[in-house]
Amino acid sequence: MIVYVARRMVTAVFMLLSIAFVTICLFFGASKDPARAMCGKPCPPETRAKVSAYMQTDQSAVWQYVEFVKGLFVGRTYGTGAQQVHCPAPCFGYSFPNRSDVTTLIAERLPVTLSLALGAAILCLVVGIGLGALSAIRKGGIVDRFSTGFAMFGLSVPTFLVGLLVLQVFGFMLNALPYSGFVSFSESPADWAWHLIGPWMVLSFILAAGYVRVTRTQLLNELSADHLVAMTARGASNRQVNRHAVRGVMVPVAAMFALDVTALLGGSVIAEKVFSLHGLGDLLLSGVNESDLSIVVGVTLFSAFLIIVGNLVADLLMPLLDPRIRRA
Amino acid sequence: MPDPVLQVEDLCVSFTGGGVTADIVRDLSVTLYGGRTLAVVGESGSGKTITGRAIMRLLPRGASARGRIVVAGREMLSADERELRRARGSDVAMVFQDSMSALSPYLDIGAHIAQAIRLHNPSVTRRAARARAVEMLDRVGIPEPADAVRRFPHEFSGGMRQRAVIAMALVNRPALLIADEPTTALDVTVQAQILALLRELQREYGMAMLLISHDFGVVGSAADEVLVMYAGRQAEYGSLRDIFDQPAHPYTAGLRAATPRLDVRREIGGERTRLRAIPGAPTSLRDAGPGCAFAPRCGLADQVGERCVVEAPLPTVRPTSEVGGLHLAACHLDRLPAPQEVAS
Amino acid sequence: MSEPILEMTDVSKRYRTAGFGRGRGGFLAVDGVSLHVGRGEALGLVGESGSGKSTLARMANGLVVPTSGTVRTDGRDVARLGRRGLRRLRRNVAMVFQDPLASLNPRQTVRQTLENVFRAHGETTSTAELVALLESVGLGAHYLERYPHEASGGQLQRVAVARALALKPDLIIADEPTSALDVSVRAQILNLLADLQRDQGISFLHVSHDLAVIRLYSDRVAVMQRGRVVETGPSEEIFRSPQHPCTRALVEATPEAELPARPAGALRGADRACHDRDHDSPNDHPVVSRPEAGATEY
Repeated sequence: MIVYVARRMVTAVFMLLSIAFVTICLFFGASKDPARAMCGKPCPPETRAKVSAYMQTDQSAVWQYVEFVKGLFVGRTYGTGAQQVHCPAPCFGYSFPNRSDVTTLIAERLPVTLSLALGAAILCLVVGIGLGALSAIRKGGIVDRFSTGFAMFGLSVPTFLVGLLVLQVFGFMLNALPYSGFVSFSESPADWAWHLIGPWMVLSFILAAGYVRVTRTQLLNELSADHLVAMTARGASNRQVNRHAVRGVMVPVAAMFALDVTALLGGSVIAEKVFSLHGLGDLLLSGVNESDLSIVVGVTLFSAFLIIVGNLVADLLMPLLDPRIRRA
Repeated sequence: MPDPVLQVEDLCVSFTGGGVTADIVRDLSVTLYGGRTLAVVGESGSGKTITGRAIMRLLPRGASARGRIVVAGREMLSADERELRRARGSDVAMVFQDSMSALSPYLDIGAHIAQAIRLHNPSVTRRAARARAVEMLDRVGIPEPADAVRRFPHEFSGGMRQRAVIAMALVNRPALLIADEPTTALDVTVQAQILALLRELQREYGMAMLLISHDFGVVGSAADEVLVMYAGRQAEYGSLRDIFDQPAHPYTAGLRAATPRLDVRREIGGERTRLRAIPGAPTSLRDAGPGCAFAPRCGLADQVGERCVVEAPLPTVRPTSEVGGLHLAACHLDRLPAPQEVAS
Repeated sequence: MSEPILEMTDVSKRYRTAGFGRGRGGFLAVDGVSLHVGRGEALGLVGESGSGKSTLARMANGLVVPTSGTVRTDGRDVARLGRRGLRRLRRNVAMVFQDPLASLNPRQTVRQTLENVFRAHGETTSTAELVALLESVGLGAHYLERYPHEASGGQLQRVAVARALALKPDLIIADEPTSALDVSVRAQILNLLADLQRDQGISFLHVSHDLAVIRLYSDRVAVMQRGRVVETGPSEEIFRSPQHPCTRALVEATPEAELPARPAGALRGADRACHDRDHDSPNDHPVVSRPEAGATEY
C-alpha cells in the first residue's frame, strides 16, 4: 500500500513538472511579449530590452523552466538594488502587472473558488443522485422522463448561456438574487450563501446531468443484478434491497465526483466571469489577457496539482467502497 | 403420509411485453415431500428456471403466475409482501448457478450469512450471527471457517463460493431448497463434491430439494423423481428409475440418447459410434403451435399422424416399476417402440 | 507414416502478471508439453478449468506464442513464419469457438461472414459455392441472408463450422465447441464434426472438459493438469484403465446418466487430484504415456 502511494506520488511529481514545461513552452510560442505590456507607451526598444531583462523573459524557454522549478524550492529574486523584488519559496512566479507573487495571488483568490466549488459540488451531488435514483426506481415514470430531459439539456447547453439565463431571470427579472459580488464566509455566512446561490445553481445544473445519467444506468444495472435477487430470495424487503443497491452506484459516482470537485477547485472561468466573482478562473483569464506568464503557469500548475491529488485520493478511497479493488 | 413440502397445481406463468401476453409455463402440477429430490430437466425455453422462480414469487418484471403453489403450508401466490418475506430464506431457500453474481461483491461471506439469519431472527446479535456463520461454513466443508467468514466472494474459488452459498441458503433450515443448476459452472470433480454435499445436508435436515438441471448425469446421481419439461409444459414425470429405464415420452428418450456417456465406446464392431441427435432446436411455448410442441422434432409423430399437430397431449398415467409410484407422460403414443441399444 | 499435422515439442507459456502479490514470477499456463496430432486424427484435450488446455490449443495456429519450445504445424515451424506465413498457416488451421453468438459479427449476414473469409485470403467466391458450404454443414441456402440473432445456437455453430471449412483446412481446433449448446443440439454438432473427420480427412484438436464427449469423438486423448499433460494414449485405453490420479478423478467424477448411479459421495480423496492448482499435490505422479500400437517416433 505504502509502495503504491509512493509510486503514485513520484508519477504525480513528474507529471506536474512536464505540465509546467509544456505550459511555459506554449506561452513562449505565442507571439505576445510580456515585457511589451509592462513597458508602457511609448516603448523604445532599449527600454523594452531592459524591462525584458528585469522580468527575465528574455531568456529561453528551457532556462525559464529551470528557474521556475528552482523557484519552487528556494524562491526567486528579480532585478537588483532598489528595484529588486523577492518571491519566497514556494515561488510560482511573480506577477509584475499585479506587483505580487503568484502564491499570494492564488491564496487571495482561493476562498472564492473554494466556496463556489464546494457548494456547487454538494448541490450537484444531491440533485444528480436524487434525480438519478428516483428515475431508476420509477423507470419510465414522470420523474424519469423529466430527469432524462434535464440531463440532455444540462449536457448540451453551454455554461455561459445557463449563467446568463439565471442572471436574467433571478437577478434582473425577479430581483430575487444578487447578480454579482462575494461576501466572505467569516463575515456573514448567510450573505455568503446568498451571493453564491446563483453560480451554484448554474454549475450544479451543468454538472448534475452527468450524475443523473450515471446514477440512473448504474442503479438500473444494480437493481436487476443477481445478488439482489438472491437477497430478496433470502427474505429481504424492497427497501433493504434498494439500500444495498446504492452501494454499487457509489463507486462510479465517487470516481466522477473526485474529478469534478478538483476541476471546480481549479477555477470555473465562465461562471466566475458571468457572476463577476474574483476566483482562480478569473485570475487565470486576466493572466492570459495581460500576457502574464507567471500567473498562467502558476494557476495551471495549481489546478493540475489539485487534479492529480484528487485522482490519487479517489484511487485510494475506491478500495474502501469496493472490496474487489483491494490490493494484496 | 405427511403433508407435502411443495405442492404446485395447474401453474401457469405468462409474460406481458409489447402489449402481448403469452404463456411460458402451462398446466404444471407437482408434489414433493420432505427428504426427496425432484429434478426438473429441460433445455432453453423449457420454463424450468422460471418455474423455480415462480415458487419463490421471484418472477421478473412483466411475468405473472396463476394456479396454486403451496410451500410448507403457505399459499405463495396469494401471500402478501410480509408473508412472502417470511417464507423466502426461511421456508424456501435458493442456490443459484452463478455463485459469483449471487453474492454481493461489497459484503464478506460472514455478512451474507449473518444477514440471512438476522432477516428472520432480528433478535440475534450481529456477533452471534457471525459466530453461527462460522459454524455453518465449517458444516459445508470450508477449511478454516473462522478466517473464511471475513473473506469476500471474489477471494474464493468457484467450488468454495458455491459451498458458502449453500451455507447461506441452509442456515435457517428451510423445508425446501431450490437449486437452479447449482453445479453447471463448476469443474466435474468439484461438481461431484457439491452434489454429495447437497445430498448429505438434505438427509441431515430432512428437506425437500428441487434440482433444476439440463444434465441427465447430474440428475442421475442426485434425484429421486424427475420432471422433464419441454416448451413450458410437463413432458414426463416419474421416478428416476422409470425415467431412465422405461421413458414414455420420445423427448425423454431422445434426450438420453443424445447425451454422451462415458461408458459408450468410440467404436463398436469396427463402426464408429454416433450419438442419436434430435433434429432441430428446442422451442418455447410462445413459439409452439396448438399441437404437441415436440412434434416437429419427433421421429414418432408420423406414426400418430395429424393428432400431434392439432392437439397438445395431456399427461396420462404410464406403467411404473415402483410400488405406489406415479409415472406420467404427455404423449399421444401409448408406448414407445423399444429403442435400439446404444451402449455396448 | 507421414509427418503429423501438428507437433509440439516441449512448449511452455508463461504469462507475466501485473502488479504485486502472488505469482511474482508470472503464471505458467503451459509447462513443457509435447504432443502431436496425426493426419486425419482427432486428438482430445481434456482437463479442468485453468489446466492450460485452451492456451495450448491456441498455439497451434500462432494465436498464442509459446515462451519456449517449438510448434510445427503442417511441417512448418510456427515461430519462424512471418506475417504472410502465419496467414497462410491460418488457412490451413481453422478454429471453432465455444460461443457461436460471440464469435460471429452481429452486424453481418451469414453470407457476409463467409465471403469475408475468402476475401481475407484474396479469393472470390460464388453464391453456389457458399450454398454448397452451408449444405455441407446441414443448413439450407436461405440461411445466407440471415443475421446471427435470427438463428438458434445450434444453427450458429453450424455457420461457425462452415466458416472454418471455407478454405478447406487440414486441421480444425475446436475449443469446447458444444459447451454452450442445448443437450439435444450438442449431438448434432458432434456428429457433424465426426463426419468431417471421416469424410474429408480433416484432423481435429478437440478441447473439452467433458470426458464423455472426448471418449466418443477422439482417437487419442491428452489429459492436462496444471499446465502439463499428465496422461496420453488411445482414447479406448485411457478410459478403460485410467492410470494417472488426475485422469482417474475426472473419470470417477463424471456423473453417469445411467442406473444404478454411482453414489455421488463415493469419490472423496481422489477429488483433489485434478483440481486446485494453488496446492501442488504432495506426491507428483509420473506422467503416463501410452504409445499406440505400431506408432513411430517422430
